[in-house]
Amino acid sequence: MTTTTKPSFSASRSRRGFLRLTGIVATAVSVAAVAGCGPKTGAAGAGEEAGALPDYYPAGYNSIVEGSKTEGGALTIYSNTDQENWAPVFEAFQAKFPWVTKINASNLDSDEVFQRVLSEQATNGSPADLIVSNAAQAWAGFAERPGVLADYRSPELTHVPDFAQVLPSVYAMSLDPMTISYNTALLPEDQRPTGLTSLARIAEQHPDTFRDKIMIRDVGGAFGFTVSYDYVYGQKDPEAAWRALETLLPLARPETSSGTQIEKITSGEYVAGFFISGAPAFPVEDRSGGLFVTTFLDDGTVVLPRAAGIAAQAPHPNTAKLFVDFLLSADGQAAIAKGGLTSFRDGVATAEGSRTYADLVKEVGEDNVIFARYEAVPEAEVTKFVDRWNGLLNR
Amino acid sequence: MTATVTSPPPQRDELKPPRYRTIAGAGRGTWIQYAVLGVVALLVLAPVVPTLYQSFLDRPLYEAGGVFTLDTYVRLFTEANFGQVALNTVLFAGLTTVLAQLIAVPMAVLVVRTRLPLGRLAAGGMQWPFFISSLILGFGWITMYGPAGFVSVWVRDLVGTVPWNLYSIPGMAITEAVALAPIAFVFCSNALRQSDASLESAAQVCGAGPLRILRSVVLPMLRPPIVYSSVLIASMSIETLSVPLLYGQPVGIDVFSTFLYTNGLQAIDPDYGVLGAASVIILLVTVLLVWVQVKLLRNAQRFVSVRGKATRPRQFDLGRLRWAGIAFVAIYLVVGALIPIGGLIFRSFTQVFTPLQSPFDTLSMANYERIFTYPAYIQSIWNSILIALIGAVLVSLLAMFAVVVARRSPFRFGRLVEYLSLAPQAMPGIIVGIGYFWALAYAPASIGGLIQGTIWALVIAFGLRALPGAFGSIAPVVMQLGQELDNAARVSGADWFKTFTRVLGRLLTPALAGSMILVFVTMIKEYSPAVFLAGAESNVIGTTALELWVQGNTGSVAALATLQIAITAVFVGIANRLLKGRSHA
Repeated sequence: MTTTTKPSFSASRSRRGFLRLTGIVATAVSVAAVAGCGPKTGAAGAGEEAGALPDYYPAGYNSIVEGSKTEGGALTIYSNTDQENWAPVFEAFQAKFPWVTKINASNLDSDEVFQRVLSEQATNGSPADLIVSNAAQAWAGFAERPGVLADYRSPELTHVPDFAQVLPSVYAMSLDPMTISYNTALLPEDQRPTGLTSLARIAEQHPDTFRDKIMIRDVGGAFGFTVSYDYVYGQKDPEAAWRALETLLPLARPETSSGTQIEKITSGEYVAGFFISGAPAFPVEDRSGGLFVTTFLDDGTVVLPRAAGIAAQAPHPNTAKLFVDFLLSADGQAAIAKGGLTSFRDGVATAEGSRTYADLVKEVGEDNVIFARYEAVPEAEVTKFVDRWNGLLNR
Repeated sequence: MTATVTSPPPQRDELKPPRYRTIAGAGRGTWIQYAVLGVVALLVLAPVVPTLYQSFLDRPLYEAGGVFTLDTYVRLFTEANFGQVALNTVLFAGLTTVLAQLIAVPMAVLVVRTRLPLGRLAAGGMQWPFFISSLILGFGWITMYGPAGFVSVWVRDLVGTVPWNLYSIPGMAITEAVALAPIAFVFCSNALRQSDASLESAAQVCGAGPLRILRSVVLPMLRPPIVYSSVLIASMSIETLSVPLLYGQPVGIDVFSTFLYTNGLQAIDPDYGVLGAASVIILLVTVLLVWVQVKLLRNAQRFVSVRGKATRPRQFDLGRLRWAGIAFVAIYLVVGALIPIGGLIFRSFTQVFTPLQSPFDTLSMANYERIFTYPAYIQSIWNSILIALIGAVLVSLLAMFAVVVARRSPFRFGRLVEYLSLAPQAMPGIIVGIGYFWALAYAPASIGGLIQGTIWALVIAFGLRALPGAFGSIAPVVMQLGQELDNAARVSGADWFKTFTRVLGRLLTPALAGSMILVFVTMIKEYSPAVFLAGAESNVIGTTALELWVQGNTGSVAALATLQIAITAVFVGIANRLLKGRSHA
């Protein structure tokens, strides 16, 4: 029962074939776009052709490719990323490196990814090659430990924005923007927010519409804390952000998962909510027929990098390196966009149901993009923030 | 101890008493009893020992240099508003248990022992809410009865206000009670089907009418199933996470499980020591509950109803009162099960499901397509079926042996077997998962490596979680079987095991089948231990649903739940058919 079919994502022939076709078109488009963008972005070469590598890779890179061929064609990823996000990425990776036939990605809770690797490394050894998570605090804590991560400097680094390296040897594969969402059936045109400041102003004028009907993410959880804390302290004037929150939080209720958030806004239990992860929200906007709308915040959109690092005890280290480089490459970024996550490399086309980093910058301006920090916040600071935040809630 | 007859007196050949071999000086009965104890102890202790150990350590197990400390317990009890959390938990669990029994006991009596139109249909329908995981059921309730639910909106349009508040402790308790009432119902109806008509006839001879017989004879005889199911329901509602998280979190009602979830697993820096300590506290509460249960049922003789003389339970005629009975059954079925589950199935065929927009505008099969596009999702459905099938057989057999050893054997450690079998009922699934993870990590590489990350790890972990339910569904039935049946077999020369296979085992076949259904249903919707134990290739329906849920694909979650209901319905249908053929044997 557990013997998997070789490429993990290959069934449903007709649909896959169609996706592959659109994939080729998307890649062709992105290559064409890249070609016009000067040396910084560098043409990715012949996209889908097996084994073809960008010309800016170092001469010794071939040893990694050859090493990967001897590793049995397997790769194990511990991630908190969904199968649907991964599917196009694996497909494109396997098209390029056809000897990698078996990719396994477990989808664990954001923190469990790390606990599991640490537990396994302490006992029988861990089968994990690659660790992928967007839990910024946990990543920072994990990477601090000696001997858990393999040192690796990706040759793609010269061709992607600096923020792609979130920690030494840890690379962002996508950025998850935190959005504001609302229900258009409940909010007339003139009451639709464009950011927290705008939402606070509207809520002040119409307190009855918004009482107990604004949704936030619970700051007691790691995810909610990271995005909320970084929003406030990523502002030029954090106290101004607090003033908006002083209006909003007494009207708000906290929820603990993106799924609940999206469903409850759609059903009308809440009229609006903020810091909702874009990856699940954008496809819902597309299929809700205009009922559910999600937008970036014009007074500061937090982006949470989803980062990958190679485990120190990786059983397939060369394949893992190929995969990390692929995630940062033009082809990889296009596949990531296709899977519904926000890719950031210049020239990647926007795919259906997702937005790219370029879309975000175009919409809110570079100054209004706040990068969630991959550093541990001291416990006292956490308590102070959580207490102030929760103190404003009406409960 | 064993009835080893050394020199049989000369008799006619066909009546020769059987001879039994002994192994190392003990009869096979003794060996089997020790084997049962060993298996149960291994299953239960494997995850408990690492948890207990962790609760006394100042750092995660995997870090070297841990120091013994009681600090974890101090931190747990001094955590802000721990008192309020404890109070909420007691209120929630108590109210859930009482409500579940108020629904289940009258329902079981009505459906099994009175002539009710469509009684068979009602008996089947009564179990529906149990087929669905409470995460899904809770969500069904929110879409119907929540602040912006279909029914709430309709009632508000009708009378101007919504007269209930789902986001409250009573709201949580009602939902959970509807979800768990089927347990009590199954336990009680099993017992009622076996009840002794001679007791009732005795009452009738004394001039008692049907109501009086129900009150004075039938109900008191239900004490074992009520006690077993109450303890089970109380501990399950202490452990349950989904309903408190869905209803309580937005309005700030914390119970023990959500407290653990937010302060432990979802926390910025999870404190595994405090998690371990909290699990140990829950374990202690469970042991206490089981102890109370044993005390309440001490005089087991009183509940014997199946004696050497066979009788056939008969049905009462309630006269006009039966219409009240029908109304009661119908309200539960329609409000508790039909509306939320119907909404769920409807949800699975729509893209957007909200009172704000006609759901017929977005009818589609896309939710099902999504599931069948990804091999990993399809695999998870097969895994769930396989795990539940294997588990249903193995766990029910183990539970039957455990019950018989605990209640019907001269085994010295019989009571210990019972405690161990019931202990897992309040172990939070996630703790079971982490505990087994550690147990497998420390097991000899040959065993650990073989099981780790495969579906066998899940069969074991899910099976452990289902064991108390299976034990609880079989034990009351055993208590109804008169000891004289055993004695008759023993007098005829059968040893303990022969008695079991020829007499008790036969009489227990319906209970065993009932237990298999219960275990199958429990295991097919189980997921929490899998969050830590499942490998990339051993996902189950529950973990896939969670994944789809977090992505905001609620429609596909509903589709998955619908598939799960269909699978369960098919299984239960087949099992019931087989059971019907055998129960008259």
